[in-house]
Amino acid sequence: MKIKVSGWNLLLFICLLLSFFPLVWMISTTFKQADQIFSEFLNPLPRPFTWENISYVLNAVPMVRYFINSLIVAVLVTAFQLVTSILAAYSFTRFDFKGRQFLFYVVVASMLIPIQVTMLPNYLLISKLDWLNTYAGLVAPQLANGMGVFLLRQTFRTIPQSLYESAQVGGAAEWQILWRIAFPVVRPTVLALGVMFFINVWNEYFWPLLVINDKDMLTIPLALQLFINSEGGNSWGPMMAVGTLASLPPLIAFFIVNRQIVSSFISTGVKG
Amino acid sequence: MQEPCDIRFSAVRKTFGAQTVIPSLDLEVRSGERLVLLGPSGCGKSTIMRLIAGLEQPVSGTIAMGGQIVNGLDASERNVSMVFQNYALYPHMTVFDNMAFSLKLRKVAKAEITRRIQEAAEKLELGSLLQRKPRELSGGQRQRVALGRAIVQQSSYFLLDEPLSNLDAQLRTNARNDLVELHKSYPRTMVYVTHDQVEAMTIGQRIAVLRQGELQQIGSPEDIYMRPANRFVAAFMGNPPMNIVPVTVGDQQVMFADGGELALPESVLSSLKRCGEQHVLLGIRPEALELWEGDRTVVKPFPPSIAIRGEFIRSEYLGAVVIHHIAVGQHRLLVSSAAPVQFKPHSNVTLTASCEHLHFFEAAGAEQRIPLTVQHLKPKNQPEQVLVMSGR
Amino acid sequence: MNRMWRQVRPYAYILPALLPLLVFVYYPLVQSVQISFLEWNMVSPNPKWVGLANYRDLLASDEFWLSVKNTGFYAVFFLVTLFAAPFLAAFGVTRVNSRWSAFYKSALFAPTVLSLAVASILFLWLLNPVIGVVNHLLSLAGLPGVNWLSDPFWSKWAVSMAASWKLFGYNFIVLLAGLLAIPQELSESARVQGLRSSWGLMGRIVIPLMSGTLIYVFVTAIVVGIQSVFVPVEMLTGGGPNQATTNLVFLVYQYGFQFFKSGLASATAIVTFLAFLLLIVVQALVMDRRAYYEN
Repeated sequence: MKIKVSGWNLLLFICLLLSFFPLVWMISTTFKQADQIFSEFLNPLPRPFTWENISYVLNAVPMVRYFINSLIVAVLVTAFQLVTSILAAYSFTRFDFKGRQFLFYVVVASMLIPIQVTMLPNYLLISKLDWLNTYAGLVAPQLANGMGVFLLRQTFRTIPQSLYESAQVGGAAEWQILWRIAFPVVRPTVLALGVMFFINVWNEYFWPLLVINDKDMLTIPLALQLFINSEGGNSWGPMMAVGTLASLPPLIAFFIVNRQIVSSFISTGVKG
Repeated sequence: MQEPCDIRFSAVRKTFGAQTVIPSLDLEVRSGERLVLLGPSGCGKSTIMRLIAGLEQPVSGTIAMGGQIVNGLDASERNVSMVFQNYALYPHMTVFDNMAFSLKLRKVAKAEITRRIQEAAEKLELGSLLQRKPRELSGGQRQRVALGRAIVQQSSYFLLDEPLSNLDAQLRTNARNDLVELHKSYPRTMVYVTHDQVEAMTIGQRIAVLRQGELQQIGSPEDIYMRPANRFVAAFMGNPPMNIVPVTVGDQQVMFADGGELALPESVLSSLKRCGEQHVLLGIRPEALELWEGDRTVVKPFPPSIAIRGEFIRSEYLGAVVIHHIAVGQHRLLVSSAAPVQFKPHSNVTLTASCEHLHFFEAAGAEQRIPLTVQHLKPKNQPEQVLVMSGR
Repeated sequence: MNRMWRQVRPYAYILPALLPLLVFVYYPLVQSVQISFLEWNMVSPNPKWVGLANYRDLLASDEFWLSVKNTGFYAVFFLVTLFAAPFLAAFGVTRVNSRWSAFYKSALFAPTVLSLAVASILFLWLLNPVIGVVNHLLSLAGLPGVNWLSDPFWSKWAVSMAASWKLFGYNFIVLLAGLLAIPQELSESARVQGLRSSWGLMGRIVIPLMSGTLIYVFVTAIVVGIQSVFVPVEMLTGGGPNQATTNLVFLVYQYGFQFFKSGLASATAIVTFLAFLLLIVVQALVMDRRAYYEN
């Protein structure tokens, strides 16, 4: 059979190399000894395999503490964003009320307002509340997520009203309908969204940069920056180690729900 | 059409991954004919069409069109016209551009493009719609655009994949006729896929009945209907479907499962014995049965017929036809007639049928047809006696 | 059930999402506008009202126009790497064997789950003039190495590459989704009608039918790209060398949190926001004009 598509295969292969190899290099350099890093940096296999970079990082920098910080913030924000989005999306599809369309646009349009515009006033507010350098300060501006509401509404919309009505007739209270009837249907989307939110919050840089300067309260991305500034120079092994460690939770989360995320994007798509 | 435009499948095999959709198909579509591929969902008819179009390639075997083997050619190289089930009209183009698409690709002159489209539009009554977009059209109009698009391509092969299934029932009847008329003005080789036997009978000059990728029978509508090659074809064609009852061949008669017996003319019995099977299937079409009240023992001797006793259950009044449900032992037989009857439920009735309308099939394997010889009476011969036993 | 509760209930369900958005997104927008009319250093209790002075100063400053120019560079760069490239990749994925496409989808998407900070660190190493992979490959090809991060011309490329690497996968998936939404029947019909080349398919069928998605990605490539490149800039170049990598977003941060000129910062933020808004409005208008094509 003729391979008619070799041109496309080539393009995709190049994209693959460009996308994937840096990641491979980062991980492999993490486990390479210093001299191999300098001499054989193209070789993806660490010879010999060493943990010294990782142990250096763990000793030099309170990584565990930063991990915990990032974890707490990411879990809190994800939880809040999921809950608020589910409630709002449910309401937008289940109930008919005055201003429904308008309020939906308001919620979704919030995505359009860039962080540069909100950062200063939010900083001032958090500062006034004395929430600088606290988890509350990191979490507070992110309790809701317009995209979450948008995507969940798409999913809720697939549930026919008759399903709700039959539950109503059966005597269920509204919160029971949401929990027992609607939620199971949207659970896959919620899972995918949850992972997406988690990864986004875990990777956040800008807002923590403003709010945190207490060394104990840094989140992982900030720790990376700290590491660059304090180490500088040529400690590439430890630097890649920090990068790898920082990427572990997102990568793990990604592998768990990989297919789910990709297919849920493809099914809800982007409204054209 | 000067050159031959036939299609020949030789030992064509098609698999999708681990699934074999078409084991080995030999099929010939004659030049210029209307052939219908008929069968239930999953029988492979759409796959065959896609193989003809070049959207799929066979795993083994050859496909020849007009004498040339086309196995390696992709759809874009075969010059076949196809009407898809959902019409596949390009939503962002006007009707005119939709129809002109293939011609522009083949660099046909603009004037010629316009001429062909006008001609087709006139025939299909699309003249006023040429500048509209597909979403502004009704289902019937879209279907005609799809047809027009296929016509202007002027290829020798015309493939239609269930083109009427998305139309309302009323539109469908007219559309069927229009298609046949269309074929008469543009006599190309037409392959038509459907699961609807009425469509198949009205449209096809020949019908190929398919089941699980295997050709069951190919022939004219009459052939298929009157002489079905096996039980599947017999049961598939006809509405209401043929009555089929398993019986055992005895010395003088055939026996029903619950002990009832049915006497048959000697010629019929000897044909059955000749085939060697002991268990066979007896088939009679509902319209071949006549319904009489009570026990009727005097039967016309000519042509040889059979009579069966049964119990009346109920009638379904459909207007032009009435369908009666008759219980014969543990079997339910359907009789269709033109007139309603006023039998009381559970009253005794007699069903008669001429032996010409009996079908027998082997009870196992492919359930092939058992050929019968039904002797017609010559004046000198003795009329065969017909004995009646109910299936009770 | 209480009738009043039933009336209020829909709003009650929305409130947990709406309230934070109003407090932390919309109200700050208003506040930003207000601050942009002040001269203030964020701590002093007496901000000075200066009207449009900040805007005038901004438009008169070289620094501003330099960052505008840089922002333009970034916009074009991201159009290539975050719009054209993902589109071609997505199209390519639909044209190759399906056995590989699942693998490609995951592999091309993977960098997106990493943080921009990690991408920055990674590219810091990859682009290192001495032992970085990139310069090594260049030398293999006979080309001179580049001082990526300290070169006034190439530094922009360096930070853009880092941001593009991370963001590519997301746009790829979005474009792929748009592509797969086109019914297969249409491309099959085009094939039967004689359409042979991939480019023909792309131009005549695919692009017109996913124009909505394309425009969306076009706009977000620019908007998200420019905002994201902040991280590599902040981490790796600090806006330099000599302001070579600064852009409007970074400028806001500098004015606000390095020079403590809140008014100026807010003015810059508002100007940038208006520019983005213009893009988005144009996108919405263009999409409205081209009617929806899917039934």
